[in-house]
Amino acid sequence: MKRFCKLVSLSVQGALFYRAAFLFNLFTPLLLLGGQFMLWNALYRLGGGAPIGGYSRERMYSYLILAFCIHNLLTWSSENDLSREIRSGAVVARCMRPVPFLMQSLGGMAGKMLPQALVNGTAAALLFLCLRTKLQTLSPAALPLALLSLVLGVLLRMAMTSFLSLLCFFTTNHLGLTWARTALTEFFSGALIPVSLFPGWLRSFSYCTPFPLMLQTPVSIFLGEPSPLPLPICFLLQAGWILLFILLHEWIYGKIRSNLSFAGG
Amino acid sequence: MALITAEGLTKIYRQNLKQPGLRGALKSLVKTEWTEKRAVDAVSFSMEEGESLACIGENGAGKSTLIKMLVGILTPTGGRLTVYGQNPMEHHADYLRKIGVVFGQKTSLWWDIPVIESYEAVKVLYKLDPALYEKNKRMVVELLDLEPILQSPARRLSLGQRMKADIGLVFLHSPRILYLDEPTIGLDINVKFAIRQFIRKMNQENGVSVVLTSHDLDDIEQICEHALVLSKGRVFYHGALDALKENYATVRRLTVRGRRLSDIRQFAPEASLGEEPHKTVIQFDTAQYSARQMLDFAARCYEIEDVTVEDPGIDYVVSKIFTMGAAK
Repeated sequence: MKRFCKLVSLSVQGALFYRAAFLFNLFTPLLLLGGQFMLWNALYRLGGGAPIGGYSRERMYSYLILAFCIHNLLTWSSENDLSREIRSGAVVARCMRPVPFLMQSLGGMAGKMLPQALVNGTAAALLFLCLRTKLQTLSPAALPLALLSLVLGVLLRMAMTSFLSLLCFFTTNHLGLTWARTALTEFFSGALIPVSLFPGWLRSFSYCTPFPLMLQTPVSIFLGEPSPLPLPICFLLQAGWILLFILLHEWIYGKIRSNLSFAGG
Repeated sequence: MALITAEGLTKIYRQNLKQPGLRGALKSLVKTEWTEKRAVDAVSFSMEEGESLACIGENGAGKSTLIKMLVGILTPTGGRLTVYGQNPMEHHADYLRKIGVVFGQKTSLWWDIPVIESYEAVKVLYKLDPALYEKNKRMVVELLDLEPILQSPARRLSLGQRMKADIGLVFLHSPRILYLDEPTIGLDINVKFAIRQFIRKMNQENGVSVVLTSHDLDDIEQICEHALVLSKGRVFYHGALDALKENYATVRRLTVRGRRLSDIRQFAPEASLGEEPHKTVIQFDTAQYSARQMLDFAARCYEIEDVTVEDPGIDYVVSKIFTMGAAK
């Protein structure tokens, strides 16, 4: 645990080194939230304020704030960092430390996530405070379960990202990897629109993937919405997917270690 | 039991062959051709604890590949390799705690944080005893003169400063084996001297085993006592560095300062001369004339003011080996 905390601390320190870039990256996602608000506001105005897919305006706005808060914890550039290290050969430093590669990846991501979590959480709290008459309030009784689901959802996303970033050892197209991962996550996790608004077949397909468990599930619990599966099953699924991605990570990293080559001397 | 034992160690790289030109590039989209390159070919050697071994060879001889297999980050294609009686690829975390690795062209420091923070990180990641860490930190800071750069991030250091910081970093956890791959590449003479002195001290006083690859032959002469010469992936020579010089460097240099009385070639016709005003450099083969004989001849042919007899440097030896290797 001490080693993981140290890795997190190093990641935060590294992120803080470039102050302007750090502050810019921290606050620019709020623009996306503003854009989503305006889009849904326009949709509700067009519909005369009627609920869309069972979501009232207040509930949708609450959904957007929570979804933004959770989805923007991780930056899109996790693959970017590893890919840069692989191409320059600097990744050898990670291989030389007596610390599991997965722990180093997760520590790096957690470090970058912490400042963003602070900003997102503060923004969400301020919005709920200032706009509470226009938002659906959160159920205090649901808070502990929602937080548990949130933690598992974030861990799931980190485990999946760590696993997918290993593909940078096989391709130089890290941007393509990032875009593919981001697109799938944004769409199927419910970051853009709630999964419950999908057509039936697409909704069923989404729930066969880990993506809704990263965002839709914890947000639904926060808002007191009924879940498609019983809560204990949801938690088990989240834990199961985390374990699966960890096992996949270790398996593919073992393959990478066996077949690694370093260009040049 | 030897510290390192390699038996028939082989590493084959599979390389994608691309035909030249646009046609070749389009063809490679559809059909991939492969070729195999034997970077290390049936290398066998052993090394005892406390030794300092120089790995010498021309470009592409397989030195860096060998070191990476010893470190455990490259998997051999064939053969057997043990360090401390175990395969370096297995129990890798335990093995990494016993070794220090410096790759001259890559840093182990965290790029955007001060050097001292990288050192503190090593203390936590290697689970070091705080007293041992403080002792080692004081030692490396003092011997490598790191105090002025401890608060600077690695990004802002010069190459020489970064290399010193890197070498300091690997000694914090008291490694028993040190692997150095071109550690002084691109460094100025003062930094090279400081690094060589430090490594030699660690080897001789602390018994740290050293495996070094370098094209700087002064590194080799000043740090190492044993040599493993590779040529085209194969072992050309393995043994003491002095014996290498004796076996392959039979030419010596006699420098005479003084007025010339007669031509020394009347006594030593096979010797070659380089004459300058008031100084003559005579090269002779020890297989033909002994140093004592040449001194005697010089005494007869010059009014000697000063005389020196020199062994050829390791650069001459290595150059001769490379030439012999190319001729095969």
